[in-house]
Amino acid sequence: MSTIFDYEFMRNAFYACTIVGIVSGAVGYFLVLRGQTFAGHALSHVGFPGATGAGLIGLSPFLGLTVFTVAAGIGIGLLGERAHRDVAIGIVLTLSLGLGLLFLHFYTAFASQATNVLFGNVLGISLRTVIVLAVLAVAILVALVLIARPLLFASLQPELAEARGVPITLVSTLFMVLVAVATSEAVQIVGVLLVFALMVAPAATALRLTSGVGAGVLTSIALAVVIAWISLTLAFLTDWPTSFWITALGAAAYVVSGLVRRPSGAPEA
Amino acid sequence: MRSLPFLAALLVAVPLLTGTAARAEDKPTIVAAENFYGDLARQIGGSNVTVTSILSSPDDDPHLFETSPSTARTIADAKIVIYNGADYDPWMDKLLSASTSKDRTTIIAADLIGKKSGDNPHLWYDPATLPAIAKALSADLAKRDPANAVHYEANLKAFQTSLEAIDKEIAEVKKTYAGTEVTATEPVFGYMAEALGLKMLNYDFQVALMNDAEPSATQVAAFENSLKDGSAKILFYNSQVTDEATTRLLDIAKQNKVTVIGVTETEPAGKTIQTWFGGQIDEVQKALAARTQ
Repeated sequence: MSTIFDYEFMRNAFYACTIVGIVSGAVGYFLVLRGQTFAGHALSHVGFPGATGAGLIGLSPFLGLTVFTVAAGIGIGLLGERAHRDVAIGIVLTLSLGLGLLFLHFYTAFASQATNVLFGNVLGISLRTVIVLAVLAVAILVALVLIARPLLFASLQPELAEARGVPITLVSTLFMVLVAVATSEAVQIVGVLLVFALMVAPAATALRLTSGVGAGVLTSIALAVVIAWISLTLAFLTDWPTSFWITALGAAAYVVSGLVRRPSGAPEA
Repeated sequence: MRSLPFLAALLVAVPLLTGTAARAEDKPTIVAAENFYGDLARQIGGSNVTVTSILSSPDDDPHLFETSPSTARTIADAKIVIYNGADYDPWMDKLLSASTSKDRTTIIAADLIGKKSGDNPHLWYDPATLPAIAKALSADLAKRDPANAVHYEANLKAFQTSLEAIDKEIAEVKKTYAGTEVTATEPVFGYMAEALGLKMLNYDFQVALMNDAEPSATQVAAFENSLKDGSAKILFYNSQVTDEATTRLLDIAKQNKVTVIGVTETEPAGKTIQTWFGGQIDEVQKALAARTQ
């Protein structure tokens, strides 16, 4: 008799999804609160030129992907609180994809080694990777806790925060760097759709269901983790892709939460 | 939460759905990443092994979708795993690392014939590849299942003999037509064209297409010129993957009386390695013979 947890790859997938769920739930809460969903989407895609460019000059695609994503995060953060933020992100995103194509143009060999880092696979995670992921998650969560207070102030009342001397550009740039590190590493391990889905829907749902920030973050984390667990189980049973289930359950949770009356005083999603 | 009892019910249902498959017999289970390596495994292992192939068409490229849990499960349960390597099937490395096993053998084509990342990954078209895999597989099966070792050795002999016939055909083409210029939309047939002594034009165009980069204007122009000025005698294309740009090149080739030959990346249904390769080499031979008459 074999069950879902008899398979090492399923156990590792549960560990990895739990870790990614916790980080995505927490980071995603602030991302959605600040209305920067599109920035998160862009950051999960700008690693492409980093990976291909690094491969071209003989460096590790992993390194290139991380460096490029962090640089884009800093760029988006510095453009920060100005108007037309979406336009700036759109330009950074398309320029990145264009650069990626240019780098591929200069390849005289087969580039699959470089482009493969863009395709994480939740069912192909070793225990060693789970440990790397856990260490990274702790680092990101610690950093998030450290900037949480000024970040919240800057997000909810930017004028007042600026008047009180909160370094708004610095705080928002640091936050974007966190998002960049979180997405670039998680994309390589569990795949782009899965990361992004866990970052947006649970956070948006939590923002609808809760008032306080603490309760909101915890709800967002809990939703992300539970959605990931149910999705892995459903994927195992149906043989349908895990990412499909995560996006479907995330969307369902968001729709259902809209039917529930919003508690008064909740921050705007 | 209402979903919790549902989740619990699912977890209970899992063993019912998965427990009965496999392990009924003690046959060595072999998983091949691509169907031609699966065909090879069947020819060497015969009825003493169970073989599963993961990819039977390039459209199954796991890049384009997520590997399914059933695929991961098949690999977790396998005793012998055969795959291409050279970054043609990098998902295999990941799936294997997620299911550690002490008594599993992995046979990687690229390692056996000394190819690495960045080389043309269509290694099975290199006449050295399949015999090397067959030898490694037969030796491993003999070690696992000594009672049937004679069968595996006999099957290896038969396989080698059948490939020698193909090698003879290759040598004949090479003797008569070495140096003939040909071209291709994709580098799928590259190693075989090299073995046949044919000179492959527009290699950089093929690399660009494989890398999903757009071929540059000069590359496209050079390609069209090689078809129009009669330098390319044959245009090979991947008949399993055609798009608008390929169709355009095929039309130009036909207008300029360049022979067009479709080759396939994976083994077509109903064929064996021998009939598949043999058929393609026959086609090349006929095309070249017709042109020189």
